[in-house]
Amino acid sequence: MKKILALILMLFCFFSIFGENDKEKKADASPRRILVQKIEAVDVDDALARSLEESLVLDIGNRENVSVVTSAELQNIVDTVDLKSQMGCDESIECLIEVQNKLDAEILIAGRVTKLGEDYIFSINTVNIATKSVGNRISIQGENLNELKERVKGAVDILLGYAVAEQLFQLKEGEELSLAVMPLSARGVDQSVADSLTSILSAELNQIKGVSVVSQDDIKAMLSQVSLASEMGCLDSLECVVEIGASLGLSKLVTGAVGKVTDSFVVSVQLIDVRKAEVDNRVLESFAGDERELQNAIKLAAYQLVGVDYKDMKGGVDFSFNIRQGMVQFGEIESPIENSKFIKGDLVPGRYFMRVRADSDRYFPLQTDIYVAPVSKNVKTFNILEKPAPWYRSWWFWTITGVVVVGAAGAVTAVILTQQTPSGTGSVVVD
Amino acid sequence: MFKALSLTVLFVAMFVSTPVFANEKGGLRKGDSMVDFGMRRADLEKGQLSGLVWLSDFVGKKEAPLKKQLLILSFFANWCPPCIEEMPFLQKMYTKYKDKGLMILGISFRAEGEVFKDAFEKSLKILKEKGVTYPVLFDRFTNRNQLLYLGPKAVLPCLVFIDSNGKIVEKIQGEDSHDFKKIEQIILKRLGG
Repeated sequence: MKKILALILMLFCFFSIFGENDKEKKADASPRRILVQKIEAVDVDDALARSLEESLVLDIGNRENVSVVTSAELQNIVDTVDLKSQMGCDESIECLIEVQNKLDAEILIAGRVTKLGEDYIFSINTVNIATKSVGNRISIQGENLNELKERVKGAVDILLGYAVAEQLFQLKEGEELSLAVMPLSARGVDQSVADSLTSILSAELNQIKGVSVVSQDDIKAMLSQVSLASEMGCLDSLECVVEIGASLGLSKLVTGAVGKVTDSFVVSVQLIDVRKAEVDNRVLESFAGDERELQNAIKLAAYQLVGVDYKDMKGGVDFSFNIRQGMVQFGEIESPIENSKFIKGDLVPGRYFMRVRADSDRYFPLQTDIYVAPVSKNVKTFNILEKPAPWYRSWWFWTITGVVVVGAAGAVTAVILTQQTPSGTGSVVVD
Repeated sequence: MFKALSLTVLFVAMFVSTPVFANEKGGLRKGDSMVDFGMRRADLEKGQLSGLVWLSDFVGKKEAPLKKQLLILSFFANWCPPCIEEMPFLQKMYTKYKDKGLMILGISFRAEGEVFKDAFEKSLKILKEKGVTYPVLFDRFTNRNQLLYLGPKAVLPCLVFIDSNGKIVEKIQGEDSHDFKKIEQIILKRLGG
């Protein structure tokens, strides 16, 4: 019996080793094996990451000719094999085949979910396991878990090549640019915010025709080794960044920082020519407004950085308010709020100053900077703050006043009543 | 026995059916394309690091080379006596064939935990003593590229020969790198001398 098993095992081994060509021939027929790594939760509830991971696995698993395995399942199998091995499983090749099958994944999907202002950012990328190269990368945003889940399907389509991401932007004819995005530095904001923006910047540059963004994994691995240097401020020095880029064999690098000073956010990015050790282009975007606007600010910075002309690709806004009436000044446009909404399209992408005025006795005016990104709609809900009522209009004033008035009236009445001689009273003298 | 056999089979199957592992075991090999990188060159006179030098400054350029060129990457460490022993020979080759298209780049390898400043100073002293004039490159942060060429075991000394098109045409590692006759034959063959 053992000899037969040994023979089967040898045959299995033989086909694993020498059956590569056959496997290639049958590639179309055999399912694509995809390994979904544990989705990393950065400054968000871990349950949210697990829920997204589940959606991702379900969506991929429901597709034809695809088999999906999670890193947790893989760990489970390895543990089981380990356990079975102790129980004599190794006399059966089933568990070995099982592990081999699971390990034979072609594509690995990795991702992280984090928060930027009120929005969640879910960045996902594929890794070709054989070549260890990063394939597609995509970043989706949503205000809540449901919104993110709705967008997972479209993202998976692009990630696995079922759909092609529309490349709306392109470099000048014939131009090509291969670059790497270094992690943005955080100044006055959380590092998780800077990391989210790095992901968005990377994904946005990758969507420009003619631009290819090099894997961030190499950079991360490199930076983990130069952590001491980064602690010493190495990443802020051009000489140092150039040295890191050269060591990675990169000709162009994008570096930058995101910061906050009082109520203003500043995003600065530079395109560095590593070979010339000089800055090719520098872009600065600053605004006073909501943290969520950083998403659009970084997108515009990305296009400007590589010289993409986006001015003709109009965008729009769709704002809701907690007030029914008021006036909105949006850049040069002045328009009333209708049914608590302010909707405008055909806007040139860029930064706009917005002022909202409602009943000045009841509401504070709202002032903020808003970004309009190309071919997209900035959807937001604003809460116009109500002014506190003046003291003479407050309930307590009128309550006290009422109590005082009633009290006073009562007191006066009592005094009057006690001082009046009751009628029919007096002294009677009887002789 | 059977347990050992099946485990061996599993590992063999895993490694052989995944070419990337097999390839990485010994680093880049003969026939592979070079992986380009840049490192800072040591200024022996001033005793400091100077500008960046890239492999593609010499070979693997997009435009066709005017004449045959050969780039030798000589990986060394200041604590590796055989590496130091071969330096005068490499210098002799450089002087003799540089006009015919030979370029040698010394590439320093740092041991884990070795402080860069100390390694750099020790290396400078050795390079001066051995009269090295070919460019010697240093990476302040990692051994990433060194390990890419040498493999995880980082067997030193190691000579990697790269032709004008950026192809690795020969790789000599360990004891073989002291076969000076063979090395000169490779140079002559590649430069058409």
